[in-house]
Amino acid sequence: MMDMIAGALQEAWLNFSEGFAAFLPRLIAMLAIVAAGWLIAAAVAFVVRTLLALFRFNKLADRTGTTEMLKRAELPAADRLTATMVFWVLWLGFLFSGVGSLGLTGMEQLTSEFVHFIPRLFVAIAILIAGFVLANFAWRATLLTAVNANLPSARLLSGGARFLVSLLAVAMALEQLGIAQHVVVTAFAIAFGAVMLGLAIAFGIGGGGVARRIVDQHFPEKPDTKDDDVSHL
Amino acid sequence: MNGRTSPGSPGDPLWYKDAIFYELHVKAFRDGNGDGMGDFKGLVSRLDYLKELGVDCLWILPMYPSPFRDDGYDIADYYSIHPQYGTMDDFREFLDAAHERGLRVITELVVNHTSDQHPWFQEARQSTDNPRRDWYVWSDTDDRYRGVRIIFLDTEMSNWSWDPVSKAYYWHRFFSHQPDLNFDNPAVREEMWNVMRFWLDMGVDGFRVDAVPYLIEREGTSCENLPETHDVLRFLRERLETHYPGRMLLAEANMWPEDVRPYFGEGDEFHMAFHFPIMPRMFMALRLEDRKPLVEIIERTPEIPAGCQWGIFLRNHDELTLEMVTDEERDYMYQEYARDRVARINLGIRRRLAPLLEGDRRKIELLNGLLLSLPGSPFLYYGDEIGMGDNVYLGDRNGVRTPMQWNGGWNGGFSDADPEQIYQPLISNPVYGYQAVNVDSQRRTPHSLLHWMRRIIQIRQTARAFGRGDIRFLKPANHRILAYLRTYEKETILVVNNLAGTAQAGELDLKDLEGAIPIEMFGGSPFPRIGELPYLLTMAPYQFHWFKLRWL
Amino acid sequence: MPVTSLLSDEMLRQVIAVGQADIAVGIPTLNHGGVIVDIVDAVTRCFRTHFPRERAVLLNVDGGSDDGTPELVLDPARDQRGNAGGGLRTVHRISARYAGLVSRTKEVQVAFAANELINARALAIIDPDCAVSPDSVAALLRPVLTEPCDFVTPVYARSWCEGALVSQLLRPVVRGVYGRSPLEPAAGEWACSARFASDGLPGELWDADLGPAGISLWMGTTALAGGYEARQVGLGLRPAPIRAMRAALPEVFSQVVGALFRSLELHAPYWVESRPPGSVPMIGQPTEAADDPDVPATEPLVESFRAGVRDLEPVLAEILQAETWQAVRALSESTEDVPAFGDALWSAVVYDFAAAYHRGAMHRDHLTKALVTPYLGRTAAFLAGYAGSPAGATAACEALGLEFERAKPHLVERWNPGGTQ
Repeated sequence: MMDMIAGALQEAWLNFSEGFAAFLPRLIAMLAIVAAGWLIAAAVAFVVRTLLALFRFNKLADRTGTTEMLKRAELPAADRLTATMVFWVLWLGFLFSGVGSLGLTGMEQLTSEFVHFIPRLFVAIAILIAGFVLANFAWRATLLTAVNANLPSARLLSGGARFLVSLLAVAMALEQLGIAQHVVVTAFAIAFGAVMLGLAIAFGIGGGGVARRIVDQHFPEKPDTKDDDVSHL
Repeated sequence: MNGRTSPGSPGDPLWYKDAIFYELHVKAFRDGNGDGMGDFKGLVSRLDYLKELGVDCLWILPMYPSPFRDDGYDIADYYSIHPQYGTMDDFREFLDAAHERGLRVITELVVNHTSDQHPWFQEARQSTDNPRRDWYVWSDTDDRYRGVRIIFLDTEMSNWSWDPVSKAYYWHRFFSHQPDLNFDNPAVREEMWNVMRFWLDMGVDGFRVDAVPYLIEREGTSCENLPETHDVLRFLRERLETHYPGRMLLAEANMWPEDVRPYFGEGDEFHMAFHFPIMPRMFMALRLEDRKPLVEIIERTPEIPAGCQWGIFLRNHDELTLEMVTDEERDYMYQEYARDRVARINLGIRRRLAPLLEGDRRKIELLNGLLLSLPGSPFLYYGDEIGMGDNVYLGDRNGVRTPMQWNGGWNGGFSDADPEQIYQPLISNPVYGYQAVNVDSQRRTPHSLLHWMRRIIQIRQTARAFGRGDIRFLKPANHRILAYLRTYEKETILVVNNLAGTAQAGELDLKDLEGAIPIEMFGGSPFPRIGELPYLLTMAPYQFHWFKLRWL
Repeated sequence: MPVTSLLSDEMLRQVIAVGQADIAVGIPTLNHGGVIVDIVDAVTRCFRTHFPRERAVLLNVDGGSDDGTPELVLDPARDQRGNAGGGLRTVHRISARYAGLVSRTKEVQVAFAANELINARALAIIDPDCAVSPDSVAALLRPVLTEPCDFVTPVYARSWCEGALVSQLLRPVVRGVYGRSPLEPAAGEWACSARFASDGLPGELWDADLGPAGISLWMGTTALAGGYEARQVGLGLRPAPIRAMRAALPEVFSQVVGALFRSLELHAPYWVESRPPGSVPMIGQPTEAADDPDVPATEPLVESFRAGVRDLEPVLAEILQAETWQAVRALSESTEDVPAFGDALWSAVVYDFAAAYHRGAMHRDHLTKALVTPYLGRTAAFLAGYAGSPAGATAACEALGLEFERAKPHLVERWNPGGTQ
């Protein structure tokens, strides 16, 4: 009996030590891959940043308005951001190939799922950032136009614009992540439709004058009759 | 065409339409007797040169006896030759020699006035009942014809002058020593016809008639261009046409072309008249590098009767007159061509062609090219064919009347007299002096201006369109390019001038001449056929081309 | 290497035909068929009577009119008019379209490019919406021809309450920042030398649509910053605009104030160093406007100002420094009929905006449009302040200029936080 136990233990130990002996190189390999991956990713990110600086990437970003957008979202400058993203994508790639090299069952599927999820996550984050920047932009544009056109409730109007664009961004981000897809889309459609209908009714019935003023403002048929007659230029 | 005569041939009554005229001073051309003054003997000895040059008709400046108070335009005897120029026999010999060589001759006819030394005036002033009294315009007071402008404002106070002999005023539009003849008097008309007949009988081919607008006076008018004046002219022309067909009358009237136009009548007054305003505009267009002044003046020139012709010139024995330009244009001309005030006289510039153009051969060629290709018969001024210079310090306009420069030797080959004896000094500066610029040296140099002039005259005479054709301006977008078509019967000449001192491109719209091949007239080279697209020509500085268009 | 050429083949063909010239007048047009004939005639008369000897070109750059404007410019019948009316030379006329988006800036750029080939010593740009006379065009061109001068702006006799944007904003800022300013830094017509046009051709703002006033402002400040000789000429009363199509105020701000702020950015290396105050030499005398004008009502301005400050709080608070913002808000809440918007506060507001523009605080178009509200407040204060006694208005404008000069160090400080040394 004892022999059997001892044999089993021995076998178990043997199995364990064999397994461990088989696993150890993999572990070491994984650690090596991850470490080397970090180094490589950092190096590539550095090269990318240097190259971007060399080609005045930030100037380009300035001109396209990207810099301003990033500033609004409190993100680093365009070249630094790009380099960071390159680093993370590379390093995460190495990380997962390292984990994969361990050969753990079940891990592979998880890894592949995660790998598939990552881009969607990125896209969702990007959509959210862009959405909020855009919402902010639309809010300010609406506010300024409304104020300069002497429209009443300028803040309400601009707040509405911001809310709508934000809502749209959140809905798109959630859809991208695949979370409660149908509910989100339907809810958004209902909310958006309601606001639009509300606006249409408001313009049609209550805001006819306002609408006419807006239209007049943008498509003047006769000399612009603003309510002040100051000669500016 | 049957019976068609070659341009300028003896049988052609319209010879003056194709002719190239050559204006010369007998006194300045060649001295035949060694007295320091040119004469007909000398002129005869140089007729071969003129024949060689290719001109058709000589215009002799006044050669009549005269006190020379107005360069011979104050005639003291209509029926004779100034003794300094020779005898009547010399003149006859000259006429015959010229005709032998196919050269025609026109002389000056000063009809409006005589010298106060003329026997007619001397007789007329003797007494109020002298038969010649009425040959001039007399008055007891000087207040008739008030308001008539005085032409020589610098020297004359009035158009009337007091004659102390007959105690009366006499009328004169020019100098006080040039009393006006009274053309209201039929006897004067008859006498003037006698004068003309005298010279026509001798063989003169026509007259350049001086001071035409002033023949008749009428109270309350400007006494210029009166209908009665035209009556006198028609009278003379009718006689001429009846008795001497084929002879020619040329009017001098420094006026705008529309004002000169009446002197052609219905083809029953003058055959020719000078077109004064064209001349300064050729110079102006060149300096402005813009065709505008020339195109404008030609487009504003009225049509003239079929038998009539304009006379055009670059320079003559007078100053380059700037009467027929605006004040703005005159200022510009003065600034560009006579910055040195000494070169200015009256309303003009007393310089010769070559110095005006700074001796630039390309500009001289271009202006001569214009002169020979624009509508009208060209008049060359003696010496300009070799690029003679001038001397503005000789007073009046004598600077452009210096002796002809024949060679680099004694007196430039003009005279065997002592240099001090010459009527006025030859040009002797190193640039334009007779040692540098003379006929002999240019004869020996194939690329000289003289040879070039001979060549272009020859070429002009191959096409009647130059003398007789219509003109149509092509107006390429480049205003430095002056291009026109001269068309006569089936002959079409395309003339393209670059008025600029830089290379230029010109796109000519020749759609209506599609299919024609332009043949360059100097070398006979064919150019690409004219198509539907604009015809592109690139032109070197001051370059011009004459193309004969052929449909082959 | 430029990808697209500024000069269309059609324009190049016409330029070749014209060749070299002495003076040129550029006229940008877009559907100006109704007025172009008068302008062409005025410019032609200017050439004929004032510059009869000069080789002159009228240079029409068209944005793609569909009312036949270029055809009217080139109409050969125009030549027949006044044939004897003086002028020795052909008056050349060029009219062509350009490739690309329609913008007034582009049109001026094309005129500059054409002048590179035409080489006119003096180039005037005429806004076809302003009336011009042969004399005024000549007055603009002449200094460039006769004096060592590269840039000329006109001075018009205007009543004190006209052109508030110029007197309250543009002129004081240009004066404060650059050390000197022409009286009309944003006039629709101006003239420059060939050198100025040539140097300006690779300029940085050609892509922006600055409008006629904005271009003028950009060019004028470029002349001041670039060490060019600038002049201003007195032209008497300003002719009424030929066609009354005034752009809306926010649009004007986006073009003109945008041009101002962008110019400040471009010329920062010039003005951050202190520049001694000076003046732009005047040729001729500025005539006084004759009658006492009607002062516009200030109530709508005040109303817009109060509502604007209330609504724009988050925007203005972001642009303005804290104490400036507090002052503006307090002002808008004051119970006076017309809040007394003083020189010091106004200069602080404008310089805060300029600094915010520089640091990219928000979308630049939003920033310039946000300035409309404080501007209305300031204008109301100015108009109300001198409605009874216009005599003091000129002195007040002078004082405002001095205030902007005085406050310039604050702008410099905020422009380069941490200093430049």
